Amino acid sequence: MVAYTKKEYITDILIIGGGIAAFFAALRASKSGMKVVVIDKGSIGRSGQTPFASAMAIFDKELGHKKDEWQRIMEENSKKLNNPAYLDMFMNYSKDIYSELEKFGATKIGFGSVFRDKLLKDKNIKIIERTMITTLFKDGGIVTGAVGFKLDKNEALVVNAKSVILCTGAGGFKPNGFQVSSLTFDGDAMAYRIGAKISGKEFVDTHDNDPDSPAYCWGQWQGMWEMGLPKLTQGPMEGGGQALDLTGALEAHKGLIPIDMPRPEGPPPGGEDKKQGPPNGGGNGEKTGDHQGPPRGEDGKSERPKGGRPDHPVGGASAGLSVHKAEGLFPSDDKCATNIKGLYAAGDCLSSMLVGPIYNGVGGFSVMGSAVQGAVAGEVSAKYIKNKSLNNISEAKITTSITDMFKPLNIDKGYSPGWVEHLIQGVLTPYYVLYIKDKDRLESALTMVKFYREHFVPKLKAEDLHDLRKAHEVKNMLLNAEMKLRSSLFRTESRGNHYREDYPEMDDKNWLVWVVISQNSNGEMELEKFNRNDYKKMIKS
Amino acid sequence: MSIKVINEKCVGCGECVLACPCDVLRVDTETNFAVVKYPYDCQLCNLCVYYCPYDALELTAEKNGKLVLSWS
Repeated sequence: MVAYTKKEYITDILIIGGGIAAFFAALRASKSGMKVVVIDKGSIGRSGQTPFASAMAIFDKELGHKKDEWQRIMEENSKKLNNPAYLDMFMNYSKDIYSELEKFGATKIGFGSVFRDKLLKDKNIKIIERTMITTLFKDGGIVTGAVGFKLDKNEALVVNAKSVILCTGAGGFKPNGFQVSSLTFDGDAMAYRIGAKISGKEFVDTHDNDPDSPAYCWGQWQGMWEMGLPKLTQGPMEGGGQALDLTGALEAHKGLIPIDMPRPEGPPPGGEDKKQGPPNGGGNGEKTGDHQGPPRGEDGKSERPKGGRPDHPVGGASAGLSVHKAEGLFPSDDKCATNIKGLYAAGDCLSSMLVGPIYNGVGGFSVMGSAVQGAVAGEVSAKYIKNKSLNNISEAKITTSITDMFKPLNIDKGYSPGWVEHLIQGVLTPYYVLYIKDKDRLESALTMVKFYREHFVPKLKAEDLHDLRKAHEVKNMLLNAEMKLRSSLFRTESRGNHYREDYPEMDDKNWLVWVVISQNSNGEMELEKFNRNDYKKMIKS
Repeated sequence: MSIKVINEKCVGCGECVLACPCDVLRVDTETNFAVVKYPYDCQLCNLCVYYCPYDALELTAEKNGKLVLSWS
């Protein structure tokens, strides 16, 4: 049995995640006078998708934006499956959020260190980095805290909190052998295991990459770090619902054209059509010789790595991720609450359906959406805990959780998490599973996923703490794989980024719903429909 | 190799370890240089290069993945 030390923290609000949603949640909670602990697997500001964000959309009445127009366009583009309450929140907050970021200097390049420094300097906020949270605790229907482990030493961390905000992002599977990145659906998985409802898992997105250097993430971007976080003032595009263009894929699938598929329809970012791509406010992409960003050593550097689009992109680089803001914890209201008291979610781990099951032809809703939701979650969490006392976590629960958490380090023989990760990739990533769906193939993939869950997961063997992190990430990925497959099977129609070969038409009569997943009392996954128009009932008066 | 530490420039400050979201790098306690301990998990994102104050990391587009064999 591996020896470990244990550290315990007591706080008002625990925030899990270190990206832009966590940044704003922490600041707002601190502003309300609450004590906050922020924990990330890596470090603040360099977490999840946040460092790779490119631009932020803002709603501004002074620019002539009209709320009902944005709502109409968004609803049309999203095939009537978006959540208007979350767009309303976006429109109420986005302008102020952007101004705040400008004030912090975070709209300039290298904003990750700006986030980190800001939280470090705040007396109410404690940041804990290179720590993976594996388990959430709940008592009597109320969230009570979490446990996790350090990557750099054998230490368990227990946090007892009055409220928890998940800012854990989403995740993806990637093709076989690809590095997975830090986003592995951790928040969804942990929350599901304590009874949270999850949604949006059937809507999948993909990214393309360069076949000559497919693993080169940096090569896929447009020098985003030089751009910082410029403003986008376009708003949702009329008729701009950017469907995963399956036309080429379908023809290839039916053997009609070669596999080298064209890119999705729509103006290329940075192309002649200025509606999408380079910002039309804030930074204009002009390069100055004087880089602002992380501290420089003696030598200083004149060149930074150059990004750019690949010349001959092919699809399927990242796979199994949902459309931004589609998947995650199902909200119980219009302010980031979940069905578990005291548990909030913001950003890509919240199924806010901000843009619905499809991209809405404009960049900037994703990262601004996360920032907005983070701010709201911080505010409402602070309000929720006023006059609430702390609920303790039982020692027995803590001990059991820690034992389970370290189990992969302690078993004699077992399976490498990296190997199981490859198995999952092999089953989930092929286009004919999650992109061109069909009942038989979905069920076939589900059979494998269940086998991996029953057979391999209990025997994951970690070589060291890095491997232990991978073991937990693999567990979380596998759980989400099951959610994606089951949701896809459940929704017997096609809409947005969910396409079924066996049900290729949209079915408004039966499917203007969100599919909600939860764990029943037998520990099985259950799915049910939630009428999209009932979002009105979610709105707090 | 796709990601490399330039020992002549590295001072062992650990900024790269902190910046990496995938826990690819560690500082070797004996040599006090950063090392690419888990290269297969590197997503070639350049965060370490960007946040190193001494330009002690280099990244290129090629990468070798780990071979996964043994099915029986």
